[in-house]
Amino acid sequence: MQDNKTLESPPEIQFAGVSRWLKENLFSSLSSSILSLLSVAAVVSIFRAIIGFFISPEREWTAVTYNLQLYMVQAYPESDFIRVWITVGLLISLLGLSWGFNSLKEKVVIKEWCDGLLKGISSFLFIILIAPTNVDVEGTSVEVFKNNTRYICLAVGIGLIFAVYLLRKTSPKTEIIRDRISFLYLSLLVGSIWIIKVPTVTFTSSNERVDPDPFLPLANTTTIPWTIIFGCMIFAYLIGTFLKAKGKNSMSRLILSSWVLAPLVIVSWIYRKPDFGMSNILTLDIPIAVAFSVLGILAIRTLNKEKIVPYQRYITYGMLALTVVIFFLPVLRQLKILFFITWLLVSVAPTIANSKESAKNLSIVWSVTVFILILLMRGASSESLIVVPGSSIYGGFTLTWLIAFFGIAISFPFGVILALGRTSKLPVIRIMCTAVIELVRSVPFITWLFFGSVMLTLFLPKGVEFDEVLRAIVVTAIFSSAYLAENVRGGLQSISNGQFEAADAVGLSTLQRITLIIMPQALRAVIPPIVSQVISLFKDTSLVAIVGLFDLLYIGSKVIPNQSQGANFLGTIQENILFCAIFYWIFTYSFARRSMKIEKRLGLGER
Amino acid sequence: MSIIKSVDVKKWYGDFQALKGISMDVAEGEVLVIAGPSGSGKSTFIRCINRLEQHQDGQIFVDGIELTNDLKNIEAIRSEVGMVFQSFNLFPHLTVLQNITLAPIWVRKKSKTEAEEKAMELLERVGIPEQAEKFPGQLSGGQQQRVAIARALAMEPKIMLFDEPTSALDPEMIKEVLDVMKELAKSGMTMIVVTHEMGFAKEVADRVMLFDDGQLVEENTPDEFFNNPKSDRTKLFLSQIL
Repeated sequence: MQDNKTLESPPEIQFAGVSRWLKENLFSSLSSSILSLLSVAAVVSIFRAIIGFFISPEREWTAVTYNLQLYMVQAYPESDFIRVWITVGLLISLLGLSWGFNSLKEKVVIKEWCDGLLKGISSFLFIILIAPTNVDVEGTSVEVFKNNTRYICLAVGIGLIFAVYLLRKTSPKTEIIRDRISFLYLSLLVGSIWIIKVPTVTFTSSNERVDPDPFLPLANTTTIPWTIIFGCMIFAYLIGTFLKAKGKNSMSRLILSSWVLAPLVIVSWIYRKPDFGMSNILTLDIPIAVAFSVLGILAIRTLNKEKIVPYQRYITYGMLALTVVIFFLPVLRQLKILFFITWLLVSVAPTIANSKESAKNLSIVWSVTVFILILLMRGASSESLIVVPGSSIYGGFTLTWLIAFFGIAISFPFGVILALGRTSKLPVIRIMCTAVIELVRSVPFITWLFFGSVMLTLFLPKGVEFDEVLRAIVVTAIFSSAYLAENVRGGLQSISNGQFEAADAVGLSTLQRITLIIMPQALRAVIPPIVSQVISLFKDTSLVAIVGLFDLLYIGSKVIPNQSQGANFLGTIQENILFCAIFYWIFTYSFARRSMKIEKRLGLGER
Repeated sequence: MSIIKSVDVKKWYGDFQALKGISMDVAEGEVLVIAGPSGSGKSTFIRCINRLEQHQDGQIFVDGIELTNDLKNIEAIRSEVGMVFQSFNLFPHLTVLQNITLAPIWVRKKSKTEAEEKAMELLERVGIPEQAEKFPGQLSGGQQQRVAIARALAMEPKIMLFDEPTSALDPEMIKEVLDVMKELAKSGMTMIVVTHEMGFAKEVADRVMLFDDGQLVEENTPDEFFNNPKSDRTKLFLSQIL
């Protein structure tokens, strides 16, 4: 039918001019004109007040710039900062790798990009235009924003707008890869820390504060590490795209497991500087690891032999009994955990390793797991050589992301299991899961934190003690998993009965039905509530201050405003709280944006 | 040798009795069409055959195995019995190809390449090989139902159950699905089809049954069923739908 007709494209929307747009959108009637004028006036005055607040000479922003280090790592000793940088570099490189590997190479037309840029630049111009020249400081008006500066900024802004407009006119249809734009912005950001100067506190040789505060590059000690890390990230991104282009799809699993492992390695080895004895590793760890990997491989090989098959069940039960006995014996913690995962292996091996190839794969995975586990446990159970004043080497933003990351990572599987348990047909499991969810949900988070920090030790066997941070993580994870379970349950209920029937009809087992058919759909349906839960968990980490941990917000609200030695920042609470707010906002907002994209991508198969 | 045999099967939903004692058997390679007004228990009955519903009295034997609560038996029977639903019930998060290969890979433990080859063969057979990489939501109803048939066939079942396969389709698409089913019947598959498509029954069925009010009212060859029905209920039914 289309052959004898030329395909029609929709008419292009013409921009009818400023006056027409104003008339149609702002002044279409008398009442809307009044409303428009009022709201514009309100916006302008609110923004003027906010900007005035920010640039008023009363604000002591040096309290933030001088204390950035405190914000990030609290009291971590400067001599070991290389460990912090390795931590950050590792995570960001991993980010670059998975970005490159998963990149869709989405393209953006220059026209669209320029439209976005124009919006950004005009907002900047708007702020420059309305910024107040004078602000009141204790009754007297002080000039804070010179008109000359304003003119220069305006000129630069208009120049930029003109340049972007030209670009938009000359090649509107050219496409650029979106990732490149992101890299452009990032490199501008990294470049800016070399150039932009902010007021900082410095001291003379006789330990007196230099007055007035000199302007120095924002982070004079961090520019070089950041630049190197940025380079690493681009390199990792390129590796990622290269691997993708080579079609190494098995890499996706490797990247995922690196994301699970990296924080564990960081916490147990890099950040802590464990004081392990080499003799321990040689005489204990390596023999144990070898023994268990051999044991596991033997189990994988023998369990599916025809003679053994009838006894599989008894072997599993026997192993479970052994694990329970070992748990109560005074042996190394490593052994307890290894016995437990051996039991897991014995119970899943018959179903997973049913062919020669999969048995081989499982053997490799098993050996690697055992060695990594032993290594991590050695790192985690050794004393740390890093000593800081106070109880914990984790503080500031380090603590915030640690609790958030592990809280989310642990709560996810637990939440899913609780949700499945609550919808289970088996009454004992259902009642137990319901009880856990309702109990955890109905008591405030702060109460649970107190419970974790004060009362948990009373319930544990003697001699078992947890680090304060670990307790906070466990409590956060349990609390969050109860909420997550309810979200996931909502997703489970949205799956139509037909999906269950279809899965049954093709002969899938219950476990396969849940993991292959039901869960992927249920989780997809509840991405928005899960994301908002993750965001709220990230913010709720600030509550751990209540049990004596120094997180980002606590440092901003209590520690810095009480600093009186050296630089005097007494009472600088407004600046610090504002900084914390912006800091949290940057993370949560970029997370929300990211999840919107994931949602779009996953929505592909939906009707 | 009958491949499906039911003896006095009864089923209740609460107080309502949906099946009031159905006894019948199906021979290997036979195409059986079950007709009847809605609510007559015909869907319930074929759903009992692969135990999506449980009968409460009587016995059902499939391929010599009695259906009981034993999970092993149920899984074994389900992989021998393919089912096609009225509302397709494709898995929306998987592509067409993944929909078809899922069960052969996970239940039959086939290798991925082997399963995919077989799947492409089946898609060829139902006439939509070019749609393999699409998601079910991007297909028309008729295409979706044909994928559902291919998905059931991928398990290489001995018996195929069709639960009103064309009732949710536009008239234009009914034919493409029926054509696939006709071809399947000619290839010697044992089929039980619950349908209102009397044309299909006339053309392909070896036997036609009429269900009413949870009972088997009439069982006959298609010729006799349409031209010389035994019971008055069949006459009434035919006069209403033809």
